[in-house]
Amino acid sequence: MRHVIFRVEKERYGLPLSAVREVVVPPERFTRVPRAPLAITGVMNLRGRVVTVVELRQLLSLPEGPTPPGRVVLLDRGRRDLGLLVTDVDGIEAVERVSTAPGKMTPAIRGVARLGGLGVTVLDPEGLDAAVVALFTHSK
Amino acid sequence: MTMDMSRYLGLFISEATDHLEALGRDLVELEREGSSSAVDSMFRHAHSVKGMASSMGFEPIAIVAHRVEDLVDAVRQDRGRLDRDLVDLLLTAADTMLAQVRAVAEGKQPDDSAALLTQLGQRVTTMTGQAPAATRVAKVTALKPEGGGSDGTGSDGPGGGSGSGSDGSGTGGGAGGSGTAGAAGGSGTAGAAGGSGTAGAAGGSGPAGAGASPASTHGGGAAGSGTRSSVVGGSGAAGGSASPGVANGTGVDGAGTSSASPNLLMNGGPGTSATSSAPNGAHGTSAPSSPDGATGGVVVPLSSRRASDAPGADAGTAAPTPDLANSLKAAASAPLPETLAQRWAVRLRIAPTCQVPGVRAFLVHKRLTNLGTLVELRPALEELKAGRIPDGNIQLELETPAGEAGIHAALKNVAEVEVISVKPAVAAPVVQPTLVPVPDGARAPADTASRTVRVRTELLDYFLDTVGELMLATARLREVGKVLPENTRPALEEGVYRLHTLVKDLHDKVMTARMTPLSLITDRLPRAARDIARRKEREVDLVITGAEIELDRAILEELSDPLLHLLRNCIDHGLEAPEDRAAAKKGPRGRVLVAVKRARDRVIIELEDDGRGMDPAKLKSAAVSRGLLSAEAAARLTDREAFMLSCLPGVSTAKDITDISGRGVGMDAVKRVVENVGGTLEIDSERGRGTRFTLRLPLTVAVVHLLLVEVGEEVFGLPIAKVVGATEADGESLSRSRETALLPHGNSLLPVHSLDALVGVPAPQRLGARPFVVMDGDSGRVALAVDRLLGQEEVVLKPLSRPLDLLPGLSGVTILGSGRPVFILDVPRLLSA
Amino acid sequence: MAKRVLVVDDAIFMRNMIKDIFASGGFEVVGEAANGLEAVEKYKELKPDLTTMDIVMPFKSGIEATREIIKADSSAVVIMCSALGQESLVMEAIEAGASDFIVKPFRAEDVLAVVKKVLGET
Repeated sequence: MRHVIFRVEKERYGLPLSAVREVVVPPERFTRVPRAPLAITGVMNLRGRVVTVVELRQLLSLPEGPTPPGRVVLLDRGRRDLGLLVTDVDGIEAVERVSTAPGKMTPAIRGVARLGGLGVTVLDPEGLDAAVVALFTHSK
Repeated sequence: MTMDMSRYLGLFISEATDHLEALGRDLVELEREGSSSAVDSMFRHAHSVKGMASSMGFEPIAIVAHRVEDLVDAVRQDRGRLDRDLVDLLLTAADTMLAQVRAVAEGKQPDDSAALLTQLGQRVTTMTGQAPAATRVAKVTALKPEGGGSDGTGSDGPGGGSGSGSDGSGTGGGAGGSGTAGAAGGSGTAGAAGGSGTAGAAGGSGPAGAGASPASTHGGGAAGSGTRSSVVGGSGAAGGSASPGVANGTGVDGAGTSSASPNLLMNGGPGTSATSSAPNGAHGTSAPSSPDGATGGVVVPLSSRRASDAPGADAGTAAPTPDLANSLKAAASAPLPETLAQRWAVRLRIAPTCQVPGVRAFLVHKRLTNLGTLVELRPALEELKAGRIPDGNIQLELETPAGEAGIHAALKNVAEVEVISVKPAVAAPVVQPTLVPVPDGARAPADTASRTVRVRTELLDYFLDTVGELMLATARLREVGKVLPENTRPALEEGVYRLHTLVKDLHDKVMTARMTPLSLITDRLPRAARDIARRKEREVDLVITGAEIELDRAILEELSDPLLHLLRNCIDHGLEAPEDRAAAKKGPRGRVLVAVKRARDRVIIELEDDGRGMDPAKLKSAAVSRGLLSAEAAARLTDREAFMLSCLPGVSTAKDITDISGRGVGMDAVKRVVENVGGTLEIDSERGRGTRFTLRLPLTVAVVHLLLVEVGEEVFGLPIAKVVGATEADGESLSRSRETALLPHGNSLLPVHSLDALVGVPAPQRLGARPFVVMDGDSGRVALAVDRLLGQEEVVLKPLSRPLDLLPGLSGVTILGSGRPVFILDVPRLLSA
Repeated sequence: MAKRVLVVDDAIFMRNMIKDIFASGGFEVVGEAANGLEAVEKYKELKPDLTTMDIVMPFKSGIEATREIIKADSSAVVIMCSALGQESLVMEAIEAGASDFIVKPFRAEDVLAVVKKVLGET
């Protein structure tokens, strides 16, 4: 299946192409969301729509450090206007065998795959969605 | 018929053991590595064991597995919850289940491990805040060796349903059915039920399935031909539900599909069906086209006596703009000349045996929305999805070119749903897909009928969205124009001005098209009033006037629950018992008046009862005793202000919490909804004379007036409707009461809240004078410290999409002319959350 | 001709039980899959008349698999096998195009009733 491959720092991730609406350049500044969880970078205006942008690093509980805002990967999850802040997008690649990821299992991660000799962490769009909603419901 | 589960026992033991061992391994790995790498697979193991054990009827194992599943799921949501104690508990549970499986393997009953279950249950409750859910387990008689012998009758044979033991093949002849049950063929019990003659519809899979399953020869089919064949999947009759595991419960619509099929042939296409739209009796009371109906006042006597003393006169005075509204309504009720999509009223019932009626209803909803536009749905979709469907009954109206046959066809393949009726619906008087007047002359009283066209509601929503974005784009253009060189500006500005005017005009037209009569929601009230009154053993006359007045659909939809709550409040708490009324020299029947009026750009809805009235002193003392208000502050409140205390969470003078009140929509929620759509709520009351709730509502919701303020680097919008004023003061010089600074305003001192702290946005420490915005809060006025006032703006409000709608304290978002998204704050909720 | 069925569940126990139910109802079980990935592959290969789909499975959930199957073949008939408490997941599956659902633990007749209804055999 074809995946959009992108990076957070040096780590490579993949999301099924069908789950990605588009990739955009982030605005100069995000509007902060009152009382939002830390992982929420803010909202941005995408052609009149208000999109919530999440820092993938925080969502996946990766080591601390701000993501240089390179690209926003917009998810195509129904009406949820959700975007992921990532370092850069590499391209679209076919990812075949996805195996269980050693040592980093969260609902947001489907597994790992090999791509051109390198490892890619394959994300689960529904798991991502659920993880974002969980951030909000638990922060109350 | 139950399945012979014994054949799966070996597989169950080996596979469950595998899962449980893997579960144990995952746990150990989890503990050793301190990571939660295995949480997902743990969940699947527990889930699988639950499913298998429940299918086998091993309740003790299924329940433990269910609890483990709950706990792992909670960890999955938040890995911070995983601690050593929990790992210990889960390991114990895994070991216990292994022991239970071993017991089963040795032909013993699994231990019910009550102590462990208590521990697991408590942990579930503390982690999820919810009591553990019940575990459903198949009714399988404990796998006694002797039970397995009787499977000679067919592959799906015996298993002995819930203790009755023997396979009933052959005994079901009493049903007089075709005698060939399908694969789902009955056991002995099915046959018995069939004898009553009503089981026919239920057992229907018998004959239908006959061809497909030659192996089956049970006699239990009970295809009683006398019953309505359209009963689908209903629990047949006696016996079926009492003894699960027996076949007659959920048959398929088998024997006589014939009674449904004639309908399939009747479809005359849209043209002919348009003429067949016979008046629908249900709506008869409010047909607004009759001239003497004047303002459409509807008098509903709620018990048969003395309807005559209802105040018809009120109806005459209530609606100030009858001509305009009525002419539109006249258009609405006139026969529609050419409609592509005919409207159908559909009544359905979800089978009482359905385990998850919510999902079932959702499936029906999905099928029907594929067919056309759902214009009415009762219960509402959210209720349906939650499975709150009284008696399984669903009513809806559907606009579709597919016709009656199409509707039947769409639902034909859905199990557990009975289509009770599909009838042409009369469009008037409640027209949700709004009638769009053709521009100009359309409002003339005479020839409107031929000049209207029906529009799908989604299309209207789309228009509004798009016009909203046009407005944003225009504002953006104007911003861009400001940085152009002086000499090129006028031409652009002129163009932008013209564009702005056109877009604004278009917006107004779209809003007009979205206007929908209040009757859409007030039509529900008589029935609700009757139900509430009956439960309270009161007698009530409900009088509704002005229901033809129109409001934006979006506001209307929001108001439905609040109106119902207010009505409930009037009848439940406002009206006295008949004997008390007699003592107060009032008639025995209470009266509730719902009057809708139009006043310039507002719609006013009054709900008034002639009951006992509210006691301001009681409200004050209730608020004081709950610590919501100081005694001094309470003493200063006027009566009218005191009545508003009833809108604070937790304050109510009603001592009795009946099942009628207290359903989650409190007065605080009513007030919030009204304010969120840009309206206000007032309460007037006189002891012994009654109470009146007044809702003042804007005609449209999409455009709101904001005061923009800056905090740190962020901009927020405050609804002007809630802003009392703004002032400047030196924050350091304010007097304080404990931690709270107090701002002098008028002749009172207002508590000061720092907006940066309220919204969690960093802002530099400020010295010297700064602006304060004075706003109405739930319990009096408050002052918000901000960094800068940016001015007022009229903006198009956008609702919050997931996940933003989960945050408290936001009422919407908008995009400014600069392109910047700005949140609109719900200050009372920010203060209370 | 007997209708052809694909059974998807990560537990062999469940697959066997479901297979037996279908056999007893006169259906032909033409394939089985133990996870969502396999399910999509098998579906494309076998083009069954009907697929029963577990929801919680490794690698790819039943919902995602359903979505992909429907995308590949909009006329696919997929019936979700769910447990109580998974209502919202089932609704998601319906949104994704699932035709109907059954609730575990189920009885043979319930399964066949739903299946025959969905296939329009009654």
